[in-house]
Amino acid sequence: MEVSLFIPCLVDRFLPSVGEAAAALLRAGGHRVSYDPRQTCCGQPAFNAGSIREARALALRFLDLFGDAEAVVAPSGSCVAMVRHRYGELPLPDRDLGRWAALAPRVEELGQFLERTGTSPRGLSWKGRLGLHHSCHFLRELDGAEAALRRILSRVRDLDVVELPSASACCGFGGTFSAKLPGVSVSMGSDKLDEAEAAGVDGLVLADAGCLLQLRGIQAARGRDRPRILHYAELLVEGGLRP
Amino acid sequence: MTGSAWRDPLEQMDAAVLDRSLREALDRALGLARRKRDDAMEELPDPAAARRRAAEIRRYAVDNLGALLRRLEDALEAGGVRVHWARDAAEAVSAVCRVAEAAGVRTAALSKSMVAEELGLEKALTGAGIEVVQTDLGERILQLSQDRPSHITAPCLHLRAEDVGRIFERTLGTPFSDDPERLSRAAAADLRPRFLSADLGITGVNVAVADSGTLVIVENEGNVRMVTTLPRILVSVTGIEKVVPDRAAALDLLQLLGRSATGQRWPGYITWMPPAWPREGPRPERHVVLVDNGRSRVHASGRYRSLLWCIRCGACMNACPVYGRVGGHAYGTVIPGPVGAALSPLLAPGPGTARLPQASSLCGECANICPVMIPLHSHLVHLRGDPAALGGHGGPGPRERLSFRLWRWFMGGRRRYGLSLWLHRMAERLAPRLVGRVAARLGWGGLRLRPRPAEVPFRARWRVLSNRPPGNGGPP
Repeated sequence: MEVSLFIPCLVDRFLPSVGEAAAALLRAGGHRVSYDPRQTCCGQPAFNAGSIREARALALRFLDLFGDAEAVVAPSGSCVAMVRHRYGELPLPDRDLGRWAALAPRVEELGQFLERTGTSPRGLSWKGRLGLHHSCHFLRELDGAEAALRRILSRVRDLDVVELPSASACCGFGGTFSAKLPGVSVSMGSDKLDEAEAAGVDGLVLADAGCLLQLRGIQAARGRDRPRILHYAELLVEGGLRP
Repeated sequence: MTGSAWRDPLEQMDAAVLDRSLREALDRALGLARRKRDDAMEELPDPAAARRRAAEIRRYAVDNLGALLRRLEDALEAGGVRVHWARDAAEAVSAVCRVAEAAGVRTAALSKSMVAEELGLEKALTGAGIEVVQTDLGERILQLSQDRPSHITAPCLHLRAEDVGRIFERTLGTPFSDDPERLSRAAAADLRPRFLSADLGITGVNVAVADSGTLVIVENEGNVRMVTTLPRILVSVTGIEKVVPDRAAALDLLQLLGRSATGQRWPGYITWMPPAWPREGPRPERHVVLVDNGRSRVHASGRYRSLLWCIRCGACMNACPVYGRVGGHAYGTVIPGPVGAALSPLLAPGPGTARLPQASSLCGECANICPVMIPLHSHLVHLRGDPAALGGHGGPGPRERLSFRLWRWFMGGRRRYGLSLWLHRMAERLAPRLVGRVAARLGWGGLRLRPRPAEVPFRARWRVLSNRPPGNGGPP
């Protein structure tokens, strides 16, 4: 398939290896991948902060850039949820609603796209015990995304998934929430890390750039490096992905 | 929101999160509540369908509020119950006080009611020289310790058993104990004579059935039964949104109310109070106060109308990671948690409530658990950008507006965006301390380190990747 890669602003700026891993997974699945360097951000940070006008401007920009794409794939659940669900609520001007409605179903989260097209990687191996963190919008706003990820991980050999009791509790990032309620935000992330540390997992895997920055930031402040906090795309590439 | 100087709820929350004994109480209560709720919901043959049905009932009721309320009023009055309409808290309070005065009431027994809390009814009656006793155990504990509820179904959720033991030791003179059984017996012994002597009973309402005028009240202690049968005057106060068309609709809601609130298949006691109540024995003089107090404004808003679907089960509080760390008091409102953070600034617009919609990471667990499927996190995010709905309060402040305008400019074009990446890298390279100070003010310092921009962002790496030949990580 022709896939337009949508690399969210946080990934581009802070976590380029997640973007590279996403591109590698898509290519390994036999897709032709393109990346439009004019892309920036879907507008979610502004929307979540209540700056609707700014969010709308970027939503329209997104529609201009990706409107003709056959498939738009992003390694971030919340950005996909923003485009698929929230653009319609901004609201968009009437003349753009149709463009959005046509595009929205073609914007997909990476793992969900790979599973739907039957192009997930096979024959990978990642040795270790792994905890999952279900990124909120990935879990609650994208039907089937979590199931898709579990299927993908279940095919990875030597991987032992440990069920953490609060796997679906929020990590506390929440965009501007992290700045407006920093104490509560850090407490949420700390509890998450405590649980993973106590479970003795080697890795904590998630599906969103925001969670990754939040949990790595708290872990760094603690001066620790276990468990490793990974986007699942990074884990799959480590697992021996071959193009 | 009383007249005293308001405190920013977000600051309250970031302070409350450090309170270890509060956290202990919250963890103990909420972890259990959540597990029991999940188990009770899973028992249903089709939990998702039950929630959809409940949501449909509430949608219909709220969309047809005017007609249902007229039907309710007719049924109540036909049965001899006086109906009082109250546009705001002052009207509601004065309606109750007038009833009490006219009947020469000296003592009142109050069963648990969030609307009574909202109206400040206890204080108003006390001010009118009436001795008021809270008959719900949790509310009684708060009355004795001059505290406020921190949760809508478990009002003293913020207290541990040992805290209650100390309160009773101080106020009732009972020997200290932290055994819940013994504590509730002590409270009951103190309450019983007060019940027997109360002239006026006051209840809230969980569901008002329009076609029969039946008021439904749920509880677990039996105090509602006493409050509704012993006193010679009985006043029920309710928000106008609590009405449903008929008994079948009420049953559908009650079944989810018990499961969502406490994990009970059904609440311990369900009192169905038709206009002719009680069925046997002497009947009290009855009054119903229908309270608007901002609800019709929420109704008229259209966008936020589904907040009136709420059946006050408290499940969103039990599920919310913010509430679970700061408790209810930090919100500074009668109804805390996700639904309170969305509803309070609409019901009582003002600087004290305007920032409440920010008190959510937007994780969506509230909407996920809500038995009537209110899209709570969607309301919260929309309220952030809708100062008009909040009476001109709220919305991003001037500094934030400027930041996002700037951000939009940088995000609005390839080159500008590239410039932002470059500036960010340069700032980190040349003035890391300055960047650190700015980040720390935004909460990214100390306990959580800020992320650093990559030396080579994805877009630059792509140029390399896309030039690689096929079979080598490049395009096929």
